[in-house]
Amino acid sequence: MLRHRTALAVVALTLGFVMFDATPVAADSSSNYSHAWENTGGNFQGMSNYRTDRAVSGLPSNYCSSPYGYDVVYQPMWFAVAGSGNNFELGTGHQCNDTYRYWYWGPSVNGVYTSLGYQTGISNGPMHTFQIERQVQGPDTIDIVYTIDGVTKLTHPTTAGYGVTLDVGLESHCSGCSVAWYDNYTLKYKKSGVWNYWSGRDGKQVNDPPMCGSWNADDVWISGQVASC
Amino acid sequence: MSLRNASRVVPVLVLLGVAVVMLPGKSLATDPFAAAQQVCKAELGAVSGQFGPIDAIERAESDDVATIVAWQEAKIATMLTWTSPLREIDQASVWTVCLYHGQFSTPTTPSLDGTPTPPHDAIRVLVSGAGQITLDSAGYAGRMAPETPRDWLLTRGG
Repeated sequence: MLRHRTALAVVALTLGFVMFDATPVAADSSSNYSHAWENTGGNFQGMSNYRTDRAVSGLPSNYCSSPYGYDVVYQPMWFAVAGSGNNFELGTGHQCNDTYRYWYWGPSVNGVYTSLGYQTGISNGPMHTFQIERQVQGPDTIDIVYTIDGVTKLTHPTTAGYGVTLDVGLESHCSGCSVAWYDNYTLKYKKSGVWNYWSGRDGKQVNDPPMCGSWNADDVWISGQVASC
Repeated sequence: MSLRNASRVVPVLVLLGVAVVMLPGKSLATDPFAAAQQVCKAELGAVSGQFGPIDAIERAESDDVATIVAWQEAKIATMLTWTSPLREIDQASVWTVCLYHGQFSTPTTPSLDGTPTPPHDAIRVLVSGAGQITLDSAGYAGRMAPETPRDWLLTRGG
């Protein structure tokens, strides 16, 4: 018994030193955003964004083998539903000196993000249409559908209500990065079965510096980092 | 490990070590979570290399895949119905759930009032018997309930 207690004590003491020597946590830094949203009237059935996957410079050459690495820049869109931290997200991630790029999709439930899938091998430059849609399939089934250029990436049933806020922009976890400004074009919402362009410039938020952002039109939001928007 | 965290954890562990010597203890062999802790500790470097710096193992638990699947699907069921890809593997095999604390850049949600959004500080991964790491989810410490499958079973009276 004494030998076991001693062993446990040694483990605890050793663990203390092991944890003390664990990987140091970098200084805390909030995520930096340049984003804008549409939320007038709510009851949204979908959102659409036409944009490029924009090159990112300044990313360290690390986190090169899987998504959601520490040094990352995202180009996200959020279909937010009722409840704090509840949304469905679709976007592009840039890592590893911008050589590891991917599209990703998944929900946040009370602020907890779950990755439901991703697609690697994405190229910067070409324009794509990103959509999240809440589709009624039948009397008891409502689906969330994530599509890129009309290709469905994932469909899953949802118990969430209509969207309350549609949000797009740029999210950077790389303080030394730069992203040339780019347009989030033809921003649309779907309501009562009809697609309409965003209007009213309902809201925006830009962590300036280092981010920039501005409206180019009611349905066009410009995002960038260390750029002139 | 930040000095703030180390200043909390290390003295506690030192005192724990002293207390264990002086008080009746229990054998390591009877601790059901010891093996899971070892798995999560062994994978700490790999997880950190994928997602960001880690300063603590918050939870560690091993369960059969069937239980993990049920927990995964249940904890997001308030918003969606989703079929875990782990349904494709042997449901009787044993995987380990590791919840780490650190600093991560998993997707966050911006506020609409300009309030700064802190980065996630909790990440949860699944480790197969062969050491394959799968991301489960990420969020904020204290807001990841049910943190493990057993937590979820307890809420169901299991």
